[in-house]
Amino acid sequence: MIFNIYLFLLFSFLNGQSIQIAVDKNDILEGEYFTLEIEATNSNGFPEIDTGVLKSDFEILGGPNQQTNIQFINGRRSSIKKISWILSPKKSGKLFIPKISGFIDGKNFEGKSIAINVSKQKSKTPFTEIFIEAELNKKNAFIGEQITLTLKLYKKENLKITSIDDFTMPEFRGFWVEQLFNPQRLKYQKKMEIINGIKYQVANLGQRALFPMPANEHIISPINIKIGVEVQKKRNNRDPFFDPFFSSYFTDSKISLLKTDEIKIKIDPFPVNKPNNFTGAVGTFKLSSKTDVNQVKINEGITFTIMLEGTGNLNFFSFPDIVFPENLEVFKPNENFEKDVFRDQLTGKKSIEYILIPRKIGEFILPNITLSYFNLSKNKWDKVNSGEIKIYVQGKNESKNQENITVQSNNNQLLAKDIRYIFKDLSNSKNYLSNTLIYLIYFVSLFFLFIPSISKKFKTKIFFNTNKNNRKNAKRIALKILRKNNGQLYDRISSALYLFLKYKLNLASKNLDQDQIKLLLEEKIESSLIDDLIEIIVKCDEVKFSDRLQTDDSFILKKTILIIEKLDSKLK
Amino acid sequence: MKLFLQIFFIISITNAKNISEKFQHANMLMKQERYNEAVQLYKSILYEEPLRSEVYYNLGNAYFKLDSLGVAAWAYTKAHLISPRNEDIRYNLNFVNKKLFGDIRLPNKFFLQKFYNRISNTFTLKEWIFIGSLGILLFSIFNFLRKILLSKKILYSYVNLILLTLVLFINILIFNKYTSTKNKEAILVSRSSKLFSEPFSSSGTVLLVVNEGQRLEVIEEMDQWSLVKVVFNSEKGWIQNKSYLEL
Repeated sequence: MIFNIYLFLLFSFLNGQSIQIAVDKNDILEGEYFTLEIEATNSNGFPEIDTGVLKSDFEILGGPNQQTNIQFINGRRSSIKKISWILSPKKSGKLFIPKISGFIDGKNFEGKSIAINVSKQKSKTPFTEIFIEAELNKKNAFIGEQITLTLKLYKKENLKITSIDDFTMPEFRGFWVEQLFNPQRLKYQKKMEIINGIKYQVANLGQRALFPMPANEHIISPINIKIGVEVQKKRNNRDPFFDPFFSSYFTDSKISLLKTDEIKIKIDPFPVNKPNNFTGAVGTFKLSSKTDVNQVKINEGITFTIMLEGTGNLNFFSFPDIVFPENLEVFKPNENFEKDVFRDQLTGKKSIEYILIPRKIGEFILPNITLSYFNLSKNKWDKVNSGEIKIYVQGKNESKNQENITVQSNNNQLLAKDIRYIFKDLSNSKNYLSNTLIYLIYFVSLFFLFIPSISKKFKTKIFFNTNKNNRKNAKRIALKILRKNNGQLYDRISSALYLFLKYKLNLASKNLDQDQIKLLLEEKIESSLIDDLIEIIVKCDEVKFSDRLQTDDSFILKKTILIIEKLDSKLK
Repeated sequence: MKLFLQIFFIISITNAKNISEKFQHANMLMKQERYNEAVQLYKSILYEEPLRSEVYYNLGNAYFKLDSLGVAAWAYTKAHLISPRNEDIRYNLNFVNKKLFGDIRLPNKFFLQKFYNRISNTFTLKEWIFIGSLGILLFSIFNFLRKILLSKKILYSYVNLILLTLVLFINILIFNKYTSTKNKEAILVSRSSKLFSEPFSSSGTVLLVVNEGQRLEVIEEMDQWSLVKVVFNSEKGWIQNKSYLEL
């Protein structure tokens, strides 16, 4: 019977928000489960809580499941958001769901703790109709010895199963696991089993081969399965719709949680005098090796196969290292494992295939391979050998190979290739590039880059005197200045004349001295031209240093140009 | 007694003042096919003078004769880095690489990159710095002359531009070469070593098996392990320090 107990109402917000935390039942049997539900009214989001607090006493079987209901009553919208978990107690007695705190829409909330009464089962009474069991073929084993685990479902013949949840086998911690059997659908064995005088149908839910890893003891944790079982609905005799005739069509289903017990497995230590080359093989094995051919030509491949057959932890140990003879090129091996699925014990064939290429003529011996293992049927150390294999390598192919190397040319034949011979002497040019040389070059470059711009004096004094180009350019520069349109005309004329004479005569002084010009030009030019020149210079000076208006513009400009051209031709 | 003789031998070697004498002695050992002793002697020369390409070359030859091709490839590469234009060194390096990996044709690079690589590899870093300094000198002298001639002809400005680009190019090249020398490169010397995903051989998975002679780039070092990148296919993994030699 399901009875709802809304334990408390937490608090209300102004706009009608409220949160309820509830369980659907608080008095349960061990192995049963209940639902924890948080219901938020008129909230925007789902409540968020930390489920970690539940995990100490409870196991979360399902959830969180979210559900939203929206109602419109008289035009007012109200919504209910539910979030729920299915929980199962881990132990019996009085348990408490701790205070659940969380937040919703950015606000915090906190609930009170809820008590859950878990009664002990009375000898599997609720499960006598249906239960599961993990069957092990042995409870103590050596490291690497196979333990077969079979998960079996027992049910009474008349009970009907409506659903089985997908379940996963747990992680078997401390074991290598190999899958032996995984059923696609529920299938009962033909033979029924009788337990305590009751006949049960039995179905195999899966079988695993477990190979324990080194430890003293391993624990196989419980396996949980949720199974839906059909229950007869209690009939209401007055109900006209559910009369006995229809009752077979309208059945109800109840979900039960089935659980296996925890099983401890004891690991036996190996007997003493363990062989040195033991790599972990446990079981019974046969080892053989073969090659596809016994005679090959040089540089042709051989397949070398090692076969390991038997029962045991075939895939869980490494092979001993094989030392191949020299001049035999070995490629990375291919490993292949074939499992024999029709047995409870893990049996199969493991093959390792090498490809070998001999690089030398002669006889090769492929080594004997020894595998040490623990023989379970005899309970003592044992070993198997594969045996040696001889291979004869012929050199017939060599001449053909040689042809590939030699390159035929018209005159000379390249027979073989080898490295060139050592150097006889040490060269002396050890440090022909000294750092100082490089620094020097950089310094000289710097010097050349910056000296002209730093020292103008340097520039005018040394380089202009020696330069013929400036003489050639003197006329061009002077005319350029004269043809400019800005500035006072007389200023331009005087500066043009000054620059012209300076370049032509290599003058050092800055002012144009009439006497000096006379002195310099007397020998080279007729006196009338000198007089004209001096007249212009004087006139320029007069205008420069007085307030007289500047007149006769075009005339004096033409005259100056004429004089400069004449001087230029004379002073070459 | 044998040990004593060996020690005596080594002391007598270290006392030999002249390096070229040692070199001649080692070459004589090579002629007598006493390769192991020759290797020791060459190594002792390199200990004193680490930038001798001839010694590296001969050391490579000795290792080649001893059939340890990976170390030979390392020695030749070292020699090649010191004197990149030596034809014999290049020949032997190619020969060993061919013997190690067969005729591997790398995918064709863009021709400009090929050209750049060829130019960059013909000179060592120091030589390039020297060339760069010469370029700057040329540029400055040219500009100096231009200034004092006061000429602004177009031709001059073109020449100036070309000189400037040349100087810039050389400087970029120098920078590239310098950064590549900052990367620690190495050559794998142990035969087919495994590249692990973690620096522990017990728990790491093997990513790749690398053959000797492969060029590696050392990215990170941790105790006895290093994170390396295989230059050929850019695979990364951890490898033990002892399985490679740094260039």
